[in-house]
Amino acid sequence: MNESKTFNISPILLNTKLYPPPVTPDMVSRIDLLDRLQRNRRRPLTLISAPAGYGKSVLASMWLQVSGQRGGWVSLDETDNDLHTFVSYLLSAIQTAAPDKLWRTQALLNASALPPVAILARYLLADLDQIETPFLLILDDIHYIHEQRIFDFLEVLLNHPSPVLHLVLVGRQDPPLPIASWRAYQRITEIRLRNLRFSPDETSRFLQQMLNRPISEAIAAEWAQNTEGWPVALRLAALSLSNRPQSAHLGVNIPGENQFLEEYFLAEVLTRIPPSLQSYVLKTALLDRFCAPLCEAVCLDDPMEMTGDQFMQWLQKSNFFLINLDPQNEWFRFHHLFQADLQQMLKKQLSCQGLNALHLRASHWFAENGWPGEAIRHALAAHDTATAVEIFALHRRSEMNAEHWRQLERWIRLFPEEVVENDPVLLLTRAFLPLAYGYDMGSLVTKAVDLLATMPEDYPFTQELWAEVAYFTGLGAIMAGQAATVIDAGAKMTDTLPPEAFYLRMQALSLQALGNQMSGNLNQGLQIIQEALSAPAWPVNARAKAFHNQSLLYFMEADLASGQTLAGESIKLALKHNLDATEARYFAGVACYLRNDLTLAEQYLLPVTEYPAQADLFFLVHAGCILTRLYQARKQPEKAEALIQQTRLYLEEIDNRFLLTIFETFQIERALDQGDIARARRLSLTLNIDWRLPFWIWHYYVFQLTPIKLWVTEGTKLDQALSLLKEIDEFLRQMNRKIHRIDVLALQALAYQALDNQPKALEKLGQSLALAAPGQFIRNYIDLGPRMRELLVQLYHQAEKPEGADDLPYMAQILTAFPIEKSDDQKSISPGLIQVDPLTKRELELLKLLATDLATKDIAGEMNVTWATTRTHIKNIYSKLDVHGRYEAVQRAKELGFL
Amino acid sequence: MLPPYDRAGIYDIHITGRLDKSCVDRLGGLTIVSIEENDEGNPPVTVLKGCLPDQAALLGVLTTLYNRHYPLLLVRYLSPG
Repeated sequence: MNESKTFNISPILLNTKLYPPPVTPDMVSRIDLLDRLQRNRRRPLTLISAPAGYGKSVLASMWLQVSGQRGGWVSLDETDNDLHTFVSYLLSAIQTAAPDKLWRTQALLNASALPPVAILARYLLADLDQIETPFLLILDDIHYIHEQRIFDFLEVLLNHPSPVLHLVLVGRQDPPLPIASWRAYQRITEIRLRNLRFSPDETSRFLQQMLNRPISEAIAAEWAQNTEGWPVALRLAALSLSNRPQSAHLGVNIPGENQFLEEYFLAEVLTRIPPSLQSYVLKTALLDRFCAPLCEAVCLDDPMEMTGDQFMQWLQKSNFFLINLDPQNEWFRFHHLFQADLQQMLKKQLSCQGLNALHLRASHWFAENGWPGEAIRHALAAHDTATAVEIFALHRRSEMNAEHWRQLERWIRLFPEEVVENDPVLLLTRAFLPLAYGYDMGSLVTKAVDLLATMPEDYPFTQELWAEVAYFTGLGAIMAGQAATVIDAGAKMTDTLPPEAFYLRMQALSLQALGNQMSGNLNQGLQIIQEALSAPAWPVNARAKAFHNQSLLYFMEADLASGQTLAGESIKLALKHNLDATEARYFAGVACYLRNDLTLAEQYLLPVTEYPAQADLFFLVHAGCILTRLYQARKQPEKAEALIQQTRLYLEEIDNRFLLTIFETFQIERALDQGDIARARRLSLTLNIDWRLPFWIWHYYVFQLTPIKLWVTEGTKLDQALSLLKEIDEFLRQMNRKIHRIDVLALQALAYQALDNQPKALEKLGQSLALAAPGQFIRNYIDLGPRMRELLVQLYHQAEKPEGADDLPYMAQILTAFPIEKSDDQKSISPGLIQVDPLTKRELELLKLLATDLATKDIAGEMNVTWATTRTHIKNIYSKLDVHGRYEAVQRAKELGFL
Repeated sequence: MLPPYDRAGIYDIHITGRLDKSCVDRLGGLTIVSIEENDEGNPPVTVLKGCLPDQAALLGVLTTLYNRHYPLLLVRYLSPG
């Protein structure tokens, strides 16, 4: 299986919308207008605004051709009234002019939630700065757009114009943009109806080309006057005359007062073609775009001797208001004005039933040929909701596999809301959309379950939908700590899901694996995923997810090194296949931070916060929390402050109150980190947060522990703190979530210390360290401040007894990493920032002897090793403690608490 | 007097409601000439006036007002622009 082919990363766009209508030799060149456009090309915007049929698109396309500039084109339509779709097309068009740029904005579009328009526009402007050669970007049919955010986006873009981008907006009416003020500042070139009318001279040239005979000035003037210089009317009128003999009079009739000019001429044209062709033309007018096989499928019952190909050839030959949509000459559409008129005629001729039948044929063809969106639209136009839902149900799987949530959301939005509310497939699919879409997952699932229970026996999707319900049951059970239910839910999904449901099957495996880890069977959990992955069919994004899910298990188990390794594999795979690596970066970053590798932690986490809009917002907030602490530890408070401001501003801009509250709660911890208890107390008074919310699995910062930390630091409510911590620890123990238990136990130790219960404090710290030692956790202890250091020193000396000696190197490693506050006259160093190899058990023994007055030779004797070995140990100790002599080493060891 | 379809003209538009600033900027250069307050808690009537380059621009203004849910009371062509 070809992975790159089966897994499509970018949202599905219609290439036919990116193709400028070709300029054909029979088109009259608009030399004056082209001159004017060319002269003003340094202005950021051109607006071509006039009613249908005045050659607006043709003019823009001619300009693109003659300007010698590179350019991109988007033909907009009603379905583009969505900022994400609109910007996706915009980027694709720009990429045709400047390939391989714009990856940052593209990354924003791949994220689950779009940022505010101003930020999106700023990203695009920054990307445009990377492009050197100016280019034209033509947005045709802008009048189809009414989404306010799209115009807000364009306004920001045009208020800070890029020197390389010249935007051309083409539409039937003026867009809602500050046109008047841009006019005043000469930032805009306007081409309007009065400029687009054909002059008698242009009329004459046009008629000569169309009719292939000389045209007198008088005739040209008469035609120009009677058609008001309207090119579409001229073309229709010319078409209606094209079969006349060369000698026939070329006077042009004008319609009566109650008839539209183009309808009149169109009727004239249609009467001159054979009835079977007429029927073919009218029926294909139902389609927004068509190709030969599609025409054939829609017109299949026509008693016509013509194939779809022959029909298309006839259309092209007869110059029938056809617009070519691709360089291969396969896809076409009718001119919009013409299509609307033809549709009116079709409606007069056919019954509702007849029209519906045509729509259904189109729907089937689109569905069979891999265009589900258009298939759904035509089925809905035929008022056949059942078929539309079925098409959706059959095609949603591959979109879920590719995690194309936006595409799925767009398809769901095609349905009337009352249909969605009453259909389990649509409801459950919506429940899968990321939280950012703002739907209430719980109520969607409940509604879907109620509906599923009432479905008839032959309902084809029953089994797979119950499997999906099981997924949500499993999610709930994770939060509730019910391992057996989690495993059952995963197993039920695996048993019932079809093999090609890759996304859901990977989620099922994760549930089973996580359930096993929760029950204390980490290896079994890992094995479940590994065994499944041995099947070659898994697409690459599912494989990346599998790595990520395994790393999650290690995190729960507090095995940072293995978690980091797998997160690293996930990143590699993601980068190779252009997938989003945010989650994996986040986990790798957390592991590095907790192990006190600050440099690497920063490398992993910065991309998560640098492009806030592309990250899952939860990761943005938690990566922000870690980086803030990291900068503070490095004595770079200005960087920490800037990051806080940036994150806060971003969350405010997108108005995510929940995450903003969590981020502000973290500021209490920050105040505590800095020893500013009064500020921490003040901040805590303004917060309104539901402390009973579940502990999310993947979060570095557990906000529920913050008030407890505040009490422990203040020495208030210690009994309450201990009772809460005990309750939380019991809950986490039940879920086997070691990574969070480490912190809860350490906090218990601090609470007992505050109560002067030293033995209990040391016992709890010992329990915390026992969980933390295999993963070599360091930073979490440092972040608990000087009191934690005091406790660690005490525990260290207690452990110096032979039975505890194995724990010494790990404790020494933590103590070495603690920052030491030096007096002003000493060089300020922070050992916490230096990556040191931990001192070994042997080295720690030797360090104690160095503090005595024994000579090196005697130390060697004491330790039963040679003099040379002792020298090597001593050299290693000096290097690890960053000192140059025995006295300095002893001093440092005292500072660190080893002696 | 027939309004020219393709030429500039001065227009007078009355709508129900109070326009916000961001909306006024997007009305092709029309300005608010008066806001007539209504009694009994009814929304005020806003009167806009100005020159528009042609009726494609007029249509753009009307569509914007419509999309922003301002009920239209009157559209009047006053004179050539």
